Amino acid sequence: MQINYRNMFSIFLFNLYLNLFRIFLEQVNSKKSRASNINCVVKTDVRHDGTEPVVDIMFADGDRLIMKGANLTAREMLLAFNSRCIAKGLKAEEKNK
Amino acid sequence: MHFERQKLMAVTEYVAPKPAIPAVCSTPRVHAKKEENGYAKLLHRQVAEAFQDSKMIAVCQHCFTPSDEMLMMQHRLRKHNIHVKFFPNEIVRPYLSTSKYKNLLPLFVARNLMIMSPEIKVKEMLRMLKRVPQISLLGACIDDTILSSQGVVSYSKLPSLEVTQGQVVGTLSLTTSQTCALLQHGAGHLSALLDQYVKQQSGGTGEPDGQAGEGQAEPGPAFLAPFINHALHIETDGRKRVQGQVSSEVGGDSWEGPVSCLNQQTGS
Repeated sequence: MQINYRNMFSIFLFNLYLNLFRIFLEQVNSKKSRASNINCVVKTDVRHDGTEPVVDIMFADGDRLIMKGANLTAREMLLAFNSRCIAKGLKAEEKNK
Repeated sequence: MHFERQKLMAVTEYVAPKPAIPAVCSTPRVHAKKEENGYAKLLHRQVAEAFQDSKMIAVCQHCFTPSDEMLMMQHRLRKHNIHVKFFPNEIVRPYLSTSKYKNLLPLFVARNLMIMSPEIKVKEMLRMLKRVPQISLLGACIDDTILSSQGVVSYSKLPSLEVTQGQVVGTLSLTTSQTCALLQHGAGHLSALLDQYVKQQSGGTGEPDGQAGEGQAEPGPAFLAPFINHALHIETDGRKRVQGQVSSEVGGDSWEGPVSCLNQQTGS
């Protein structure tokens, strides 16, 4: 799965200790995805104090997507994330027309 | 052979009865063992060697990093005799599950890189990792102790073993030397005072004899008054009361040294 970062501002991942987060990060941080928008900031934070695992995504148009990964799988998170990315991309294209 | 006879022989030939269970079922099927790939074997050996040789093993999440940055980091780490190793999880996991590093298994998910060193150089490693934000430290096994990422940071702040050992020795010897000094201080002080007193007395003997006789009974110089009073008390009241007074005089420390000194001095 390739993610297009064109409409994205920043991604923050907290509590990398969960395996699903690490799989998510691997996908998110792949070479192709990063190349789609170099300005996108990906920050990670490894914690070991039992805090809730959270992915915080800021889009360029001001929307914010927060995913709490306690009861999600990596696939679910990626699908949700990607569907939103595609929707944003379509909107942007319509505006340009 | 006659044709008839040949026929008879063919008919009367012994036919063994078929076994109830076919032979295929009775003999266990031998699975052809999958021969391991030569490269996998080499990697297995390398993993085992790397884990045996290194005292410090740090596991990091490896995200996409430009190759030149990666190379620079590896080069900088190698200056400190720290090596960056990439092993696929399929190779590392079987080795870990049988070795003493079994508890490191949960860290080996997705893409990993291992930072290994025969010496414990946590500070250098953390300094290098700070420059590469894509590589996040997950955990480490330092000196057979598994540490989390926060644990590694706090470990790096510790002073070296020699320094801490020196500190412990210092604190231990400090207390003993303090007690020793406290015990000796009273006796030394008293003997000095008495010396001074004797000197003054011997200086006073040059004066008329009648006064010298009184001088012994007199309290003498003002700073010696408490001690002389103690001495008198010992003779009259016994030991306990004197002890109480002495301890109240000298900073609350109860010791018997000066009292015995006093006893000797007054007895002589």
